[in-house]
Amino acid sequence: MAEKKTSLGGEFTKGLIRENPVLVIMLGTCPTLAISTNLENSIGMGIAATIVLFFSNIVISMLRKVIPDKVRIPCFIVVIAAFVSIIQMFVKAFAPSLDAALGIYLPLIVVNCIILGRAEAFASKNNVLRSAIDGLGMGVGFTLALALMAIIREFFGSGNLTLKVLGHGTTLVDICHLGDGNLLSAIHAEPILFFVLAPGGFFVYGLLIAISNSIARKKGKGVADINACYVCENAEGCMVVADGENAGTIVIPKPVVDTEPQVQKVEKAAPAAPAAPAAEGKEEK
Amino acid sequence: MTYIAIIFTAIFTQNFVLQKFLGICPFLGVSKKKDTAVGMSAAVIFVMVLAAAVCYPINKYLLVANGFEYLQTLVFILVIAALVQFVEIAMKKYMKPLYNALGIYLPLITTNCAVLGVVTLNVQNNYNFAMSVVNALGSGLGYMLAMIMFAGIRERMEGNDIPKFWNGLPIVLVAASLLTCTFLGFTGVIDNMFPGAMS
Amino acid sequence: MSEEAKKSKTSISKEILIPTLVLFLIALISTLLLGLVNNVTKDRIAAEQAATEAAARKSVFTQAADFQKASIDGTEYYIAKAKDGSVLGYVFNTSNKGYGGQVTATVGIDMTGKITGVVPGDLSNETPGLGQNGSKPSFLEQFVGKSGTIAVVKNGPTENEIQALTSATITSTAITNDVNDAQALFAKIAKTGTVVTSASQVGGVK
Repeated sequence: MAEKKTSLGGEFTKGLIRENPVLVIMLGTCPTLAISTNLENSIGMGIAATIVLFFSNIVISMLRKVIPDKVRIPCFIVVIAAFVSIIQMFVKAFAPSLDAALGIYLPLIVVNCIILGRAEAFASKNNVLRSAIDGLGMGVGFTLALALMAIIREFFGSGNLTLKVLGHGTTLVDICHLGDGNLLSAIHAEPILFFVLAPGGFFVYGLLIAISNSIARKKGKGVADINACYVCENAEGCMVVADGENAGTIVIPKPVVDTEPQVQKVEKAAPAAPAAPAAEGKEEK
Repeated sequence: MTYIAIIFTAIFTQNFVLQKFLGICPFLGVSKKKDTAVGMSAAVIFVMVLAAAVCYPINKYLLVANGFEYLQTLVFILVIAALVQFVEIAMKKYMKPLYNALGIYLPLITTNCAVLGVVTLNVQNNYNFAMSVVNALGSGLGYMLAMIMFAGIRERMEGNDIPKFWNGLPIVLVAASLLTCTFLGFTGVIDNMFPGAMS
Repeated sequence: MSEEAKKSKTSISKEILIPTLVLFLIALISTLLLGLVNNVTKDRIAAEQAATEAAARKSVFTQAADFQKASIDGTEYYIAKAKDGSVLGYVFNTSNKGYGGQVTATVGIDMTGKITGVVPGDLSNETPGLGQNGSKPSFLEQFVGKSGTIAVVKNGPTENEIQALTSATITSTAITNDVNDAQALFAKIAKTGTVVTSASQVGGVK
């Protein structure tokens, strides 16, 4: 553990801001744009994705010594799909209105590149504890970014912000909801429909990334650590460099071809649990 | 008439990228040049139609018939992954020119949510076989339309003097937002073109 | 690479058999796990679904104390009954194409043919902020008390017309078509001339 650069706490917090999956690494754009019209659904989506991310990271990290390199992507997909289906069944059983609101975007968590991206870039190279914490951090970061977008879009778009106990009709917090009208009507303004419609999604997302970029610039940091997802199948899509000389271009860092002989022979007898040191050479940059 | 309505709806009013936000990653990533945009979307159309055609019987005769609906997500994603592999191998062997044109985009498609999305939507809407395939074709064409238009816009944007705050991905997203605005206008058009088919 | 090539020659099993086996095992375990979870949750899912449907029926027909399943020409509907068992009206589940998919609705109609209430089903495929407003009471209350074919207008609705949701004519029309379909079913039941009061007779209608 002494050689690790980041502490466990750092592993968690990096997902929140520094490596926020949505605003910095540019992963999981599809559900971000589609679901963020409504705060309640956004949080539901975020929680569902976090749970999937947490468990799939754990399982993939546990199996990282067993899964042969050749079939790793199909293996990851199967594990992720299994967890997504399980979550889907639980949501259907315990929060049916959330299931109805998320529609096809719930099963589509399978192809959410945050999850496959983290499986590939982190969980397949790190031990179980770190992978679990990474999954949790990334998931919470995803939820926060989603909620932030939803707050902007729902407030300007419909004038209301409501947060209900997920899946049930009981209103938990009814912010800015004045009688039959809304906060905007109280100041004699109409809700701006643009924000809840599809174009508003792109616009607010662009705005948030611009803000996050300019903050990073002020701090003198590179904007995005895009190398994190170079192996993800969708990598090309994520590889939009947000800043610097190559702004707006696609750069696909060459996947590191593992030329050294395989460290581990595929042995089912030896479970992957504490034997982390072997994998530390591959530690994420 | 229903089929024409499905195609038009999938291309214009329910455009996969611009309305449903499916397949955004390649939409932003591969749309920088027109020819890559064409190649990628052609590959998407191909795989979408094939996936819809293959998943329909699997869903109907294997999953639904035996009450295994809960396996849909798992089975569909595996079928799509396998399908993409087979297509790649078959193309390489028998359709070399097509492979040269589309081959490099195929691996990107496995985890493209547009493909799983179209299959899931077909199931959700209870489409029959022909409707599923037509819907996949329309969705793919809509994907292509959005990609090509967007690539055109981005080629024009190249070298423009963009304020530093918006530079990079943000301005690309703002451009996507404006393109999406124009697609909102189709809503009424389709409504009036197919008054009967909509109901 | 050459090292790898040598390796693959020496053991085909390592290159092909083991990956296949591992993938197969993972898929198998996942499937078994899913089956297990399905067994645990399926009753609950069915119960939730039934509860949602029952709540929709109750909200479109508040006076009714009990609902009894029946069917006409293969279409299922519900008979709304008062506490004493007398028939108050009918509740129908209808479906029409909306903006992004099917829009279902639960429609209550009393014995005089007047609409007692409308509740749309899943609107998640309609446009957020526009079509999804179709579940708002201010829109749905327009239907209550009306009878006969209802039309959708954008401004100044008169009798048998309802005002469309802002920028969501298609969703409004879909819900209205659901209501009109329900009225057609009601007319069909009325034509048969029988007010069905017992389960045995319900079968006869079919």
